[in-house]
Amino acid sequence: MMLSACIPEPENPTIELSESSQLAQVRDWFEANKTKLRLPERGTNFRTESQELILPFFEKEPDWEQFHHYFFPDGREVFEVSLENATKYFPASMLDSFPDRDVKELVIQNIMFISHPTEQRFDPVIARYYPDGEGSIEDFEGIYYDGIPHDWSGVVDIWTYDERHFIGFTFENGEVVGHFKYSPLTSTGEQARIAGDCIQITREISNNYTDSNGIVVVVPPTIVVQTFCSGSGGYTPGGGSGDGRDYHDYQRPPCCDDPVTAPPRDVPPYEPPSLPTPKTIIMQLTNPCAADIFKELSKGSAYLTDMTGLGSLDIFPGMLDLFEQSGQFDYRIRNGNTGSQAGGSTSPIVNGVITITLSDDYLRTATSLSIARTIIHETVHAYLLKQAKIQTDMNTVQLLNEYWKEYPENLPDTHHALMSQYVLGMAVSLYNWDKKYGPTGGSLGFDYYYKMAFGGLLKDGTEVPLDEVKNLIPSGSSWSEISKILENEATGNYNANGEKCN
Amino acid sequence: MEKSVIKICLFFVFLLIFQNESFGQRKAELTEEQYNVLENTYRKAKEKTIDVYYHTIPFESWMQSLWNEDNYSDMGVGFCSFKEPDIKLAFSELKKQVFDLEEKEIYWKKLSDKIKTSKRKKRSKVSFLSEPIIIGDYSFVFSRSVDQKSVHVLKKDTLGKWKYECGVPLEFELH
Repeated sequence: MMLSACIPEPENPTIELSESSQLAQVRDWFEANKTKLRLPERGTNFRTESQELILPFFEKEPDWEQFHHYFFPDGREVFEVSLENATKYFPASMLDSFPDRDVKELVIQNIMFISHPTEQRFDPVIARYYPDGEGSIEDFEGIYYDGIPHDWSGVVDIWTYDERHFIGFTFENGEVVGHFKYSPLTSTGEQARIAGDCIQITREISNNYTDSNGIVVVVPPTIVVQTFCSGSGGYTPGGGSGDGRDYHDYQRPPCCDDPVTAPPRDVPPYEPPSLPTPKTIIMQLTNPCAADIFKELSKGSAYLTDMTGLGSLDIFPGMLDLFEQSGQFDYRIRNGNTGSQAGGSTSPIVNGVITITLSDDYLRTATSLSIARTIIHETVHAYLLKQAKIQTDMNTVQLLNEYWKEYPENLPDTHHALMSQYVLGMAVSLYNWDKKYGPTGGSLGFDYYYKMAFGGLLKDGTEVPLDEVKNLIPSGSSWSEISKILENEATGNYNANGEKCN
Repeated sequence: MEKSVIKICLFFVFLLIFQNESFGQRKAELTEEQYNVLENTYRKAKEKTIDVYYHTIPFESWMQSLWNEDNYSDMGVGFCSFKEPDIKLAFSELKKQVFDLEEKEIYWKKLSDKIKTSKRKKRSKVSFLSEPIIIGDYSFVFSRSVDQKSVHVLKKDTLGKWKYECGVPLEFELH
């Protein structure tokens, strides 16, 4: 009788399509279709009677070596590529904001290729980023539509591929404070506000000449930079504040001779894609209350006045600084479905980004005090993941490794064991937040915030605190009492001292 | 009668032959040194016992994520620092050898009471381990459990003893 053992075949390594090869597909598509990317004309008098704000068209030359790759919330894929054109447009106001600078160099100009949801094509738009001060000057890597720096101020202006104004977003300190679309002057002839009406063109003027022998003498060309600003007789930005809409569609302003049947044109048509509001790099919370708490925590707040020497232990702003200092803004906070009962979760590093997700269910019931605690707790996780990655603070990495040996194959326990050393700092962050922004003005007594800082420091899969944490429980208190405080705040029940966030 | 006896004898002869010839189909065994590595992987663990599946796992595609840009850099990977060039070289070599991982039996008798083998795949706390891959003075063990994946790295000291060097968490859930 023969006995045969079945030895499973090793899994074949999977081959993933690289970003570069995906970008090559976009480039091929663009080269094949760029002459067709025009909106239909309205009629023979289009240019003179159109109510649209249209800039002169110029050839788009993407720099395919520089691109960002991301997805809109609805799943459409986006490749945002640097535009290396000699022509740049910017508001005249930038000449005042940066009197001693070459304003052209401060404008980031990209072309966004947005995948069509059903057809095999991309609908491009042009994105221009205008900073409003020295603190908002960014390079290509530092700003893009899905990654506006969390403290950026300026305008993100979107144009169709054939240079019709689509929409503009005004940012102040990382928040969208309004959006606008250009509309025709009012019938009363009101003067237009100046915006988007300067053009700086760089030209090369050849100095070559033919000598007496008929030979062309090559001489270095003269580079001429010319700036033209219209300033008057332009258009008034219309539209208003951030109205919370998820997506914005391109709308052609009404025209004198509408409706006009558009002349026949080649297939496929160019349709400017609908766009979500640009996202800040860090704060992507759509729950307004949670968003406010995050912004307040990140500003830092008043030092403790009743416990001298501990005020500087507010660890939250410093932890965010670590992400900012790296220059890559690899921290995100959002809300959604965490897939568990927990109020928050922190992802591994994916495509360079650590994402914290606050549970929507949790945000519906929790007090603002609980949410602030959760944001602090998850940010410590993100901070520890970051430290392990960049390995600049070897003390922290070595501590992580030592706890890992005690809790092998269990990163939650490893992190929470090390987090026991941050309990005081987390409590200070929470107290400082409540003192300046929170519901009780810091009136609960430091002991309450300290106990809240123990939230989540449990043995993985249990309701039992880790050994490292047990030693820190204040004398006279019990884990049961701490657990009750956390539950009260997380559910916003009548025993909670905080206020519900919804 | 004689014919029956002959047939029975022949049957047993063939059985013996095939048992010997099926030697090549028996799983290869872990070496003594590999058992030393496994033992020292959990020496400092707080848990009183560690449950591991009684077979090692062969190559699985998630193991390659060790070298992903999200995890691996010139400075190190996980909690492992590349200050010493030898460890970085070992990781480079590991990238090729990981494909050679085979399924082998882990004999509980060759391990201390701390590590218990289990034949039940679905036990929630069971860890599925690869056989240790030994490269120079370093050894690597890939580990998979229900919600986490990681790599253990051990280093042989000057006395030839395996000591836990560093860990590399690859997949996990943090709350």
